[in-house]
Amino acid sequence: MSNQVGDEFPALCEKCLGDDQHLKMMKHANGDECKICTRPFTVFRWKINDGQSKFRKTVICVTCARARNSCQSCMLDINYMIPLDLRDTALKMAGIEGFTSSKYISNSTNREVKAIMADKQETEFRNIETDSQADRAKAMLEKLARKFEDNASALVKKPSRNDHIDKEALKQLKSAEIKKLVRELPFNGKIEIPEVETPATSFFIFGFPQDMPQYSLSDYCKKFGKLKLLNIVQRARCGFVSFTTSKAAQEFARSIINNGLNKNASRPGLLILEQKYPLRVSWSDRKSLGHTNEEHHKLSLICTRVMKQLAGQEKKTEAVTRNSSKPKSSGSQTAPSSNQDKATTATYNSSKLDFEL
Amino acid sequence: MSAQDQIITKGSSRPARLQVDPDTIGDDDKPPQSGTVFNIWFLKWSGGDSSRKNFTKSKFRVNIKKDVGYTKASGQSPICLFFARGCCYLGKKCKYLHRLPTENDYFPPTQDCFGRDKTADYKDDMDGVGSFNRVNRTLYVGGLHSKDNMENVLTKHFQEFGSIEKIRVLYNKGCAFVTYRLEAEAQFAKEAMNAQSLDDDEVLNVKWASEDPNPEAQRQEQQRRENDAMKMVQNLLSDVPKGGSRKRKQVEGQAQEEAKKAKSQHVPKQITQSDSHHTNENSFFSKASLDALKAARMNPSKPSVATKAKKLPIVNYSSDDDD
Repeated sequence: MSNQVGDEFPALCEKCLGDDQHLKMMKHANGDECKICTRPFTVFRWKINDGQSKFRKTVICVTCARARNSCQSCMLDINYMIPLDLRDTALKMAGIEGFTSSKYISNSTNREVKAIMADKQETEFRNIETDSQADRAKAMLEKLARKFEDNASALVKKPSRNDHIDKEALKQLKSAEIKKLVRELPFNGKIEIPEVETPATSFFIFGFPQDMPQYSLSDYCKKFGKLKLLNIVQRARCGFVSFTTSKAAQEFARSIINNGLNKNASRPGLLILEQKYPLRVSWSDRKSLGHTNEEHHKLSLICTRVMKQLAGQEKKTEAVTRNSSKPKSSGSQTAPSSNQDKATTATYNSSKLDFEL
Repeated sequence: MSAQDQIITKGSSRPARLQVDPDTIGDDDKPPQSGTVFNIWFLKWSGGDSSRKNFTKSKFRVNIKKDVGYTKASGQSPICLFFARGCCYLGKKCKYLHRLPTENDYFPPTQDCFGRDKTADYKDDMDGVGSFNRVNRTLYVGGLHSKDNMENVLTKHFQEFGSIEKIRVLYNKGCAFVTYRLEAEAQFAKEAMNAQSLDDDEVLNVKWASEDPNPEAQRQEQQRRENDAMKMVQNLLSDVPKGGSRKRKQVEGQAQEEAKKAKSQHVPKQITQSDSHHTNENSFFSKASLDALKAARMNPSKPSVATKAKKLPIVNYSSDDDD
């Protein structure tokens, strides 16, 4: 009896079935083609009491749903109601073999191939009971939970910044190539507020990581006033932002000077967004940032270099003002890369004259 | 959750504006002739020279600030497609939401934010509703007139519909890729900006973007997915103790009467063997870890449901028990 019920009853999640104890469904044998495997399947339509007048229906066949352990209607995981790709990512991170073993996922766009693949699945998944599947899911979560408890921190991969590659690329970069691009850009601008009243409203922003979302910058800037312009090129790691009023712009500058990270206002001011995106800000009018991939890539290298140089300078001045014989704190943090840093700083200093107007 | 949504929609105290006066709509909505045959089902011309296919600028455009308002729609409704295109003639009588999608909205993965069914694969031209196999937050924007600061122009026009994560302009190709924070925002922006123009009189051609071949971008995407998965597992583990509310339903409810009786008495009548594995569903966590998870619970989702589940003893009955 249970076998028959398994055949007849669609694989649906609790959310799709709603809160009511009883439910009327309409069954339409071979009513539609499965959206994944293109074979005809029995469609169920029902309505639940959630204030929405729309009918729900099954969109994929039972076989496809069971192979993925998903709901036939919403295609979320049938036990935990989570998106399948996130579930599989989580399982992969924990090193557990997921439901969707790769042999059942066909990347083919051919309808016949899809159907044949599904037929092969059919034999394996026909006799799987929903209960045993729930057990399987439970076991999997159990494993995941154990893994999670053991090493929650180990599962989160540290963002691997490929700095060494950048450094090699930096060395190869000839100053003549970048001269033209960088001549206009104010990498050695300042953040201090001019004493004379100026109508300046715009800033040059550089050095942020390539994965910084634009909205985190624009949301931050909007706190000071309306933006007139936001021209961010993530690949080049630099951009321009300008406010509609000079008052807002000055407030923005003042907040950066006073954020405790900047001692010298005659240099580009450091700002750290959301505690993970460091960037430098200096007053400047909008200039061209180049149009091609190559130009953007070179600009991003320059940005890396300038960021390092500025950090190095700040460390130096800090050491000088402290007058300490042993630069302990600065040495401990960046001990392995200090040699490289010096080298890049030296090269930057030698080519610095090129950058200045 | 629906109550919260209601506050959002009802929070905008004005009724939704009529974007188009129904009286001004002509009977004949054929676009200017660009082919030999007119397909009445798709309202499109077909045949003829496809290279000559003129992209006509849309007559309407949504103005979010002006057009957002409450309608007859409830919190769970999808968003009005015609509102996004700027041509809903129903205004406050519309049965769909007239507002932007937000982070708190739930749209089933098989549908887009307008309630249209997605397909397994993208269409060949990457237009249309999109695919349920990939969460796509990136739009392809074609037909740009290259100017110097396209990033700024695109930001200005596209940020109206959501938070922009990234804009990448290919100057030599006259196209751009706009990535939003949420998939629903990208879906909305796709409908809202298709066949519109930016500052000039160009006609944009907005489609879904295919996967970014740049390895750096792929690494970022992978990172993002892993973070999301991590967050989700944390939520899941903190939610597990409320399990045991599993229930079974059947098309032909044979156990209706029994269940009714049981419900009215508020006593689970049939506790059989099959229940046992439902009820001790959470026993595979050590107590210490459960307590730790409870303490670290980030956001207890759906508190109302949880309390309801506690109050009502759920009747567990399965088909095996009925015979």
